[in-house]
Amino acid sequence: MERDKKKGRSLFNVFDIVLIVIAVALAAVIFLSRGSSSALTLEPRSATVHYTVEIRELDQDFRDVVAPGDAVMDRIKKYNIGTVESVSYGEAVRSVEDFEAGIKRLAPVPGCLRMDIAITAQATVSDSAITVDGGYDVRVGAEANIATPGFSGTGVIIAVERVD
Amino acid sequence: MKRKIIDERGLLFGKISCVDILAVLAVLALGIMVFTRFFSGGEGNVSNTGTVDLVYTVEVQKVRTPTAGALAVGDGMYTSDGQYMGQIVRVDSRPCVSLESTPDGRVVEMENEGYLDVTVEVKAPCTLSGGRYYVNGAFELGVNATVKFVTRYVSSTCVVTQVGQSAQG
Repeated sequence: MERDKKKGRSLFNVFDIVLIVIAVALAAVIFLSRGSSSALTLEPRSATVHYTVEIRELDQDFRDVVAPGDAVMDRIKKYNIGTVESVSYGEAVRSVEDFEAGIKRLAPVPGCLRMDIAITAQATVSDSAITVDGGYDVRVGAEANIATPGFSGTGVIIAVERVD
Repeated sequence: MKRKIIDERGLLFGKISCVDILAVLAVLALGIMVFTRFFSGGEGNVSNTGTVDLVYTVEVQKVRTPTAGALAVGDGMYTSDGQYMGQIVRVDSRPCVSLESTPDGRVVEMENEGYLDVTVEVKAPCTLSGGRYYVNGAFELGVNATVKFVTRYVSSTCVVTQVGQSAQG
């Protein structure tokens, strides 16, 4: 007992140290063997992105509510996703079955407009994403829940200018 | 005196450290994970011993024309949770035809104006393990699988329709 007191008990014995080393090595093997997330390794960089959000069936009474210069925000997660560059309007259409002709055609929706909002924003560009405000990925086909001063709506991103 | 299962020094039956037992169990678990990752798959199967560039085909169905137009050769494809799927090497679009029910009780093919079906060929570094192809050792390829995918410019869903031969060159 006196020998133990003189030696002093250390926190780890040799067996513990060996186990820790083996565990760290195995964990490293597992982690590194997951495979790289991309074979197209591109260092993320900053760029200006131009993209367009389409609001499909906008009540025609709300025309001109969105104007160039308006700040655009994501309604869900409150990201600041850019500034309105321009707004254009077209005919709102909806897909309907025409059984006589055997086709699903796009038919006009009375009382509604299609609104295309061109937005510009500073973004981080990587292999897999163009990301605005640190968390909002801009991609064609993605739903967009947007808000500008005095307007909110849900649409789809229909165009993203290529950043190569 | 009745011996405690774990005494005041943390020793099991006064002899073995509980911490050491937990550490051994943790190392065993990691070892099993490494074994199953690299050596499972049955006798005679290749396991992570070589990577080949494989071309596989996916169908992106009933997408609007702008979405189809944003799929481009050279873009990388990823699952929605970030796993690499490969690089797009070919994109073919055609009018979208879907099956629709008629009021008189039939199912007919109808072309969808404003929508396209897109066939995309993807080239990816794959390993074969247990008869299964894995892209980058992680994303498993299988026909009929529905995958939510993204590229830098597109977000959509596809179905794997063909896992092909090794890519030439």
